[in-house]
Amino acid sequence: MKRHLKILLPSLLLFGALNGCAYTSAVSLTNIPAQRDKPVEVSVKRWIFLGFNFDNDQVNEIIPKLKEKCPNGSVRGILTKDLTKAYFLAFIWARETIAKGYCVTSKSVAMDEDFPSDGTEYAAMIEGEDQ
Amino acid sequence: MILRTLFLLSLTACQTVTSISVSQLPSTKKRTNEISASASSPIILYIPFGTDFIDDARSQLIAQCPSPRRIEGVLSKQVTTNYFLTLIMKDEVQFTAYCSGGKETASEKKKKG
Repeated sequence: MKRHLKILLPSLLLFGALNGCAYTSAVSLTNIPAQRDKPVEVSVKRWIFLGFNFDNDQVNEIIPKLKEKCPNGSVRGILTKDLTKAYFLAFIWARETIAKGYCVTSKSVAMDEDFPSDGTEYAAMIEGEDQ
Repeated sequence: MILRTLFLLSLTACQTVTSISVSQLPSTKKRTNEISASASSPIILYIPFGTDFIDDARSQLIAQCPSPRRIEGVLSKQVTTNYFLTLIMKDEVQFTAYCSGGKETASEKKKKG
């Protein structure tokens, strides 16, 4: 029995240490478009040892990465998840930001009644609301 | 007495808003069909069980407003609820939005009467 425990306990501890506990720090969701056939997803990650972290510049990479995934359109309906993952009894952390959205082509953006290509319909809509 | 008080206190859940965001609101005329979705995941003894529940909440919201309709004015709220002196927690995400554009679905028309 003791022999089994000697193997089981360190195994459990190692398993627990290697598996990162993911805590959600922030969530946001933007307007979801009608065209949802091209989902895009990007993520950025930073490893933090013993809590030492001096900047959050990795988050800025999200936008260029999204642009790369959708070069000929705009990204709408972005769900952003900011996660903190703790490994090895929280001695090592991973700060991960995941952004999931939909790539909308220029043509359908122009067809979108709220965001027409020349802005005239939008102006008319605002004017109509004021009256 | 103290133990009883502590026990009673541990039963009451304390809620904390972790994050909040609002996206662009649609025009007044389009704010008729409000939709909402939420999902949660437990955190037991500080051990969470994934973050996929957030994606589930988004899927629930999308299911209520199928294409070609759009989801606008999204209020995202992330709430943490503590139970039993934070030994058990609940991580919850709530989305409230307006479904606009396109043609109304049969259920929406029925809702409006």
